[in-house]
Amino acid sequence: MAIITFAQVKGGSGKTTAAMCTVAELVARGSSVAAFDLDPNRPLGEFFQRVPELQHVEVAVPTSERRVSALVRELASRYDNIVIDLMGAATNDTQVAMALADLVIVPSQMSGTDLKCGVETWRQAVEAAEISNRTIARGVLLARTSAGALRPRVESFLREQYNRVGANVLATAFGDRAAWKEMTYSAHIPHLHDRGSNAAKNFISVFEEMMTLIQSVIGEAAAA
Amino acid sequence: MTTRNSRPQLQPPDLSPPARHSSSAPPRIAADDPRFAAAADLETHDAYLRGVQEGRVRVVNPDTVPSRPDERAQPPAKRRSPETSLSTKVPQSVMQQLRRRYAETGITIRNQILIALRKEGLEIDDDDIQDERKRSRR
Repeated sequence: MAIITFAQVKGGSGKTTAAMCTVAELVARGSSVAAFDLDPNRPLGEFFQRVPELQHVEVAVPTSERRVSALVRELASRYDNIVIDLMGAATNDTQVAMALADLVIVPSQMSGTDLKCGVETWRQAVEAAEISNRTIARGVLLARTSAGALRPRVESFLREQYNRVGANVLATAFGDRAAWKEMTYSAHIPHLHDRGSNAAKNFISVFEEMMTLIQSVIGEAAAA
Repeated sequence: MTTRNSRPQLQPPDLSPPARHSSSAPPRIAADDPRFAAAADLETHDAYLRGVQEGRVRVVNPDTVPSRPDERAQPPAKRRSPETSLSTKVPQSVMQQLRRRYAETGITIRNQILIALRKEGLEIDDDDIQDERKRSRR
């Protein structure tokens, strides 16, 4: 039903964590999902193997024999959802994975470099939509934001800067919580193992906003 | 007037989610969806070179970098002698230039060095310059 690509030409922005969490949420909801790992460090497969509920998730990796587009097409014939995680750099895969997507999520932390690279990634996504002549839902996901009720000045500033270039920032943000940092060590995924926790509620809100974005594009396409 | 000794037992209602009709579920992405062709167009060597020239591609993923068309057409090379490994140190600036040239031209660092050595007069055959890694690609 959907291909979701996590892209950001800067590394360490939260792409892989968001991709892991998205796969886990789709599994928690009983959806059929596979992952495609374009990060040469291959973090997804290693992590999923450590989580009993995710061990069955197929994680495809590129091969020298077949193009990324062909591999994803094959996955799409067998799974309803595909989550693509990219390398944290402007690579030859970036626009390919974007052109395949129904939704491109650009995780961004608060630094100036995150903003600059986030804007570049956003523009690449706009271009990928133009090249492929499709509407691709897009959203900037602010990551490692303050988990408290107060929104720090820099977060509002960042939202303004993204809005200034026409980038849509998700209303929900990926809060800075120990649970996400510990996840790859503990194999405890809040929204899979403790859905009542604050961390789980945070990611579920992010996920639901992502799904709403996809639905809005599907609705637009149906109306067109 | 009769009274009932026991109150009827409360029966839990069926709270299971309503069955999802297959017709209402969005279908899987069709194999002929135009996105796959559009993405494949971005995976050609020309598209890759354009990406490098326009600054969109600054890092090459060795797993997915498109090979040059002429590399695909070449028959398997017959090396004149078996390969051996060579490890050495060069100034960082030289390494950066070699990497940049690889991104721009697709000529591997190994082959850039072999070509340069051949220009210096070393006897190096064309077949020795073919890149082993690329021969079976696509």
